[in-house]
Amino acid sequence: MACPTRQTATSITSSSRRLCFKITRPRLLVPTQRRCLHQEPGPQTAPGAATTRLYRPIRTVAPFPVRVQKPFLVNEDPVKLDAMYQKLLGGNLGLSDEVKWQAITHKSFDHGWHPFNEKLRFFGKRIVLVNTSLYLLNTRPEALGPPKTERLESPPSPPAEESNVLKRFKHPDYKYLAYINPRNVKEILDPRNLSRLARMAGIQQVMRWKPAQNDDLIRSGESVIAAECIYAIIGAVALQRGGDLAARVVRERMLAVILGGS
Amino acid sequence: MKRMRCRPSLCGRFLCPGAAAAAGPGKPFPTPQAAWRALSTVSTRPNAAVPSPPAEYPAETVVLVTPSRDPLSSAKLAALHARLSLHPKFPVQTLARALIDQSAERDRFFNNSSLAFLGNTLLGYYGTEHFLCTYPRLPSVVLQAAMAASVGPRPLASIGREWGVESAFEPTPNVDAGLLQFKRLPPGTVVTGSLRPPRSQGVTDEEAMADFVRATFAGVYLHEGVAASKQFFRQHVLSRKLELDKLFNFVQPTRELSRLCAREGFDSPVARLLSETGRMTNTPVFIVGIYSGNECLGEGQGGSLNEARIKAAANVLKGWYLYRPFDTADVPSKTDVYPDATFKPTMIDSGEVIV
Repeated sequence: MACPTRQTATSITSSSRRLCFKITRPRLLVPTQRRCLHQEPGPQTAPGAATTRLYRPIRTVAPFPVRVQKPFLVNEDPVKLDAMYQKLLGGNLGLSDEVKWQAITHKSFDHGWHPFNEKLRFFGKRIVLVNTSLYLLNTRPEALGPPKTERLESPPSPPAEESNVLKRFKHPDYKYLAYINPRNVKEILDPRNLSRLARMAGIQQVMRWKPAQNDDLIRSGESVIAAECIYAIIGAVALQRGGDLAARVVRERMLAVILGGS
Repeated sequence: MKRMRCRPSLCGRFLCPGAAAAAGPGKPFPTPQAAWRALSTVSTRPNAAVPSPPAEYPAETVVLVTPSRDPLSSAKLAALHARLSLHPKFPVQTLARALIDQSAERDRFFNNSSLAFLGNTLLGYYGTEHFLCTYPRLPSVVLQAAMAASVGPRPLASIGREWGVESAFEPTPNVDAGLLQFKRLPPGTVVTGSLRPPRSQGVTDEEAMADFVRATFAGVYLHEGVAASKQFFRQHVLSRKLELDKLFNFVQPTRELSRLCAREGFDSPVARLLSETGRMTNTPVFIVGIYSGNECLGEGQGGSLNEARIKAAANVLKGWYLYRPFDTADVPSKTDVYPDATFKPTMIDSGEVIV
């Protein structure tokens, strides 16, 4: 018999035995036996309980998702906040309360519903970079040793002049210009230095953020976010009280601590 | 128009060096002896330790490959100094040093790397404070894009080209001190990402020019002071037009707008058709307004109802983010110049909406 279509052919060639099987035991009505981990063994499965293998004890299996949804508790006490600012800035610089909260609030806190510090820290970092460069410009590096005034007053010795065929152009405005380079700045503004500074002021205890993992704050980037809070506080000081005061904060409360401690 | 005509002897010298050598007496080419450290910013003075120059030179001549190698005698450098209206306190030698990239000269006492770093931090500071005080509500992504578009390498390089600085083909010792000297990368080099070759192997034209402009800013700061550097920034960077509203890229403007209204406590936004024409034609135009309560926040027009609504929402968001305070506040660097002046603080924005 010629088959009109392929579909028909397949239905015809399927064995009659299989068709009978389908009729007698429809799959939808009788589900296959499945291993059930989370349910208590009911009365139906009770006879098979001895044979069913459970891979772990029932009690330890959480009936909720693996990711912890528990809210992360942050500081809400303004007294603690003021104490941190007092410790970090060494006095009351006249920041408003809203800005004080904003500077220590990360974007992740409450899904950005509260004012956060992203732009403040961008600006604060620029201020810190400028003032670190100016610090390197104005400060005599330790590698040069103590200044030798008597040698500067005396005329340069002839052999030194002979040795370099081309003299370097020197100018009193240059000061220690050649010591400004990315490596020196990076060394001062090392993340470890900044997180140490943040720990000394206690920023980690008061900052508002949402860690990726509640039980592992270090891997969630606690120190990085605390360092960003320092930048944000400096940016806030500059925007509310002027760049001069912010530069003083960077010099006296930040660079002095970092360079004094290391 | 004046045309320059080459002398046949000069042309011959350039075209075939062998012929030039055969041409007979003329100014001889510099010998390798004369090419010591010619990239420095200061001319050499003859002294006893220096081997005597070739016999063609008189003994007291400055031992330089070309006279214009000396910053003080380079006409290009003097012209550039005058063109930028730099103060006489700004020495020409600093300008010459700013033109030497670290790929051309590795010694940091001779190249512009320190000047460029200092200038870059200053530019970042002045640029950020300008945008934060002029547009306090700018989203941080747009702020960064605006910074890149005003003080990034590309705009700085174009500033340098507009100053009329030309680059030397190769940083050989006999180039003019008024030319930008850097080592070029071979053509086809990948200059983005981790495949970027180290600085000592060469830089792009754009980066070298940007570093020169940064170094010039640092020189103005060093020699002329804070106030002058702020003025220089205002004259050369802020005078350039930047279309900030083109920097926005909204993915879901309607959703962002409703989040914004919820955060700020406005009534939730409603889109209403204001007017339309040609609905049944090929080119209909709809004008949709977004209302919060009874207030129209913004309008948009488009070829379909949805397009008009989305454009209206984007316009409302741009109106929010590009807000400028009526009376501009003081920039923080004002107190760098005048520490005792009264400072009017700017508004600090709470940040963009997170969708």
